[in-house]
Amino acid sequence: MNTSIEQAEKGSSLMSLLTNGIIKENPVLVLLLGTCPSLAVTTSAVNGLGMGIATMLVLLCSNVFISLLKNIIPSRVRIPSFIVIIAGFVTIVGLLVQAYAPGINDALGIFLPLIVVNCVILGRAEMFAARNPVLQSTLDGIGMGLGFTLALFIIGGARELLGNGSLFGIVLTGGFIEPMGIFLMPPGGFFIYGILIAVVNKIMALRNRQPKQEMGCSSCPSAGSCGMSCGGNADLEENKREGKVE
Amino acid sequence: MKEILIILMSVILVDNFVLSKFLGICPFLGVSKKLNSAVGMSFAVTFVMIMATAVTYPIYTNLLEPYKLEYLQTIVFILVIAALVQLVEISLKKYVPILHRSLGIYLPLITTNCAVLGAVLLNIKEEYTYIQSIFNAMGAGIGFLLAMVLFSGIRQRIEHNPIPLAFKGVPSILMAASIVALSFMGFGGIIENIFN
Amino acid sequence: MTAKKNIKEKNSILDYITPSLVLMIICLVVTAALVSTYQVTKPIIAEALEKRSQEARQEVLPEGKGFTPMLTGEINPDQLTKGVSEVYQAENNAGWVITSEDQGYGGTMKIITGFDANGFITNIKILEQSETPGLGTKVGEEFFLEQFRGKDKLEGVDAISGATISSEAMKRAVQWSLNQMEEIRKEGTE
Repeated sequence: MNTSIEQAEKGSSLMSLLTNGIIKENPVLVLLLGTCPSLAVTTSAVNGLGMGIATMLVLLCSNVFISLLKNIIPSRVRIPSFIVIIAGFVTIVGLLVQAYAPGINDALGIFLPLIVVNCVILGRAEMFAARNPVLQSTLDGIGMGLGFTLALFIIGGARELLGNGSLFGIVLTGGFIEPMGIFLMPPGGFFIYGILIAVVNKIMALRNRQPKQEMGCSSCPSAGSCGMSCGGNADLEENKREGKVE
Repeated sequence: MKEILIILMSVILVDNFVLSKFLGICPFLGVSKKLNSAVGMSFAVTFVMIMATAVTYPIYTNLLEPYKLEYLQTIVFILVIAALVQLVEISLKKYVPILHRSLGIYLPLITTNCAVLGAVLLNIKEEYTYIQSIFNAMGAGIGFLLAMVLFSGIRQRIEHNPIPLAFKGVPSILMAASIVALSFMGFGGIIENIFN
Repeated sequence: MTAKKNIKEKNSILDYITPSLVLMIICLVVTAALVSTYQVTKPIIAEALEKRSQEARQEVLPEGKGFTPMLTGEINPDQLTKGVSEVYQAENNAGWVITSEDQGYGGTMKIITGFDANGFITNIKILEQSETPGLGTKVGEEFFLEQFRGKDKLEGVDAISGATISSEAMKRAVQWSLNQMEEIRKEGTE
């Protein structure tokens, strides 16, 4: 499978870097990262879009800055430095949203500051921005951000349509079909996300690609280094521990 | 006392961190395969949550709030949590190796996880007192444990059942999570009826 | 031999200092950026907040002009009755707007109620709620809210079937503001 790193090394066209994050390695639907916000704030298409755009802004800025500073930051303080930079941008984006889009701020609640622990951002910083030039990092950031936004928009749109009979607040099916409120609630979130992944898996199978078997980071290529942020590869650690005698 | 009971019951059952607030989904879906790791992870999460609350709350009330620096809470909290866990891991390794062997491996995995930062941010948002915050964190961890253990049992059942190919793996887990979340919805409204 | 050892020691000290120094510099730069962003956005945020509160007040008391705070957390907080957080009065004596809250099904329900000069409810607006979408959220709809209008006592208000807890929460919140209204009128006639 052509990962983004391999493509960058091959000097593949810059365009493919962009589209990679949107389709081939969509962070939410393919890499299965950033599940918390994907489920929590997607109660409407607008909220999904808002969250996606906010995350994309942070991702873009952090990718650019980390790529700019990658040669100055000593390896030992790599992760803490990344966290500080990302947290800084999250706070800035948070303040901007509060100032210019207070409605979105209320809708996203604590998930706006929680962008700082979004696996996608730290993962991309570690995996890509820290090793690639600024231009590529920028495109990767935009690509992943767009992919994230797209996924959140789809989930949010589906949940809003089924749960409220509307899209962007405009009543569509709500007039004649009774909306199923359950889709706006947690069980609905899991359900829609599950169906979506199943669809994506089917598509991937048709193209002979292996879907990701485990949630979280255990099968993520950056599992080793990204381990801090996802909490999903404790099984990996567990196996390591059982295999080796400590 | 009643306040604390209400907080505990709410955060464990009604507003369960994982199944209602969507915090801590990554470890929930990633680690719940085996009961051992599920329990170990939950204890580690509870431990870190309580510790993080104990340290960040005074920092917020004594440093950030009086100087109108509330907007710095994100960056301060995450750094504090990351540093704290590093510290704890090193000290555990040195002084209580037994604990380190069982909890230690999970600690770095949850430092920058939504569950812990979420718990700390919620304490501030809900304007709890120090004691209430600690109990909130404890309850969050217990709720996490409850959800993890239940889900681990379900996953072990799913493992041995035929599932359509497209749903194999992650989608089936999500469907199961959906049903567990549904069951927890049944707890809604009990707080008012028990305590009023 | 000692010279080599000294260089090695020097290197290891630098190994510890440089990373920490870099991290500190990054922290300082980021903090500076945050402080400046905050200074710029603070007035804009405050303005947006005030605008929304003003719009809510206008909505529940359309005749009111020039809303000034009468009782808040800072102005005579001891005169606030239970469940009430703010009271604003209209300078043109059109009435008052009272913000109150109570616990609903999914969380706190915060409402703002407009009262005319004689203490009768003009309108109610929900500011915050976490009720069940499609069920509890119906308490925000016309057919439920109009039961309160024009009254100065809580009577003849029917709960929504299937959303009892949300309905009761709304009724309690309105009761709190009614209590506050009574206190104000008592003060006025003294």
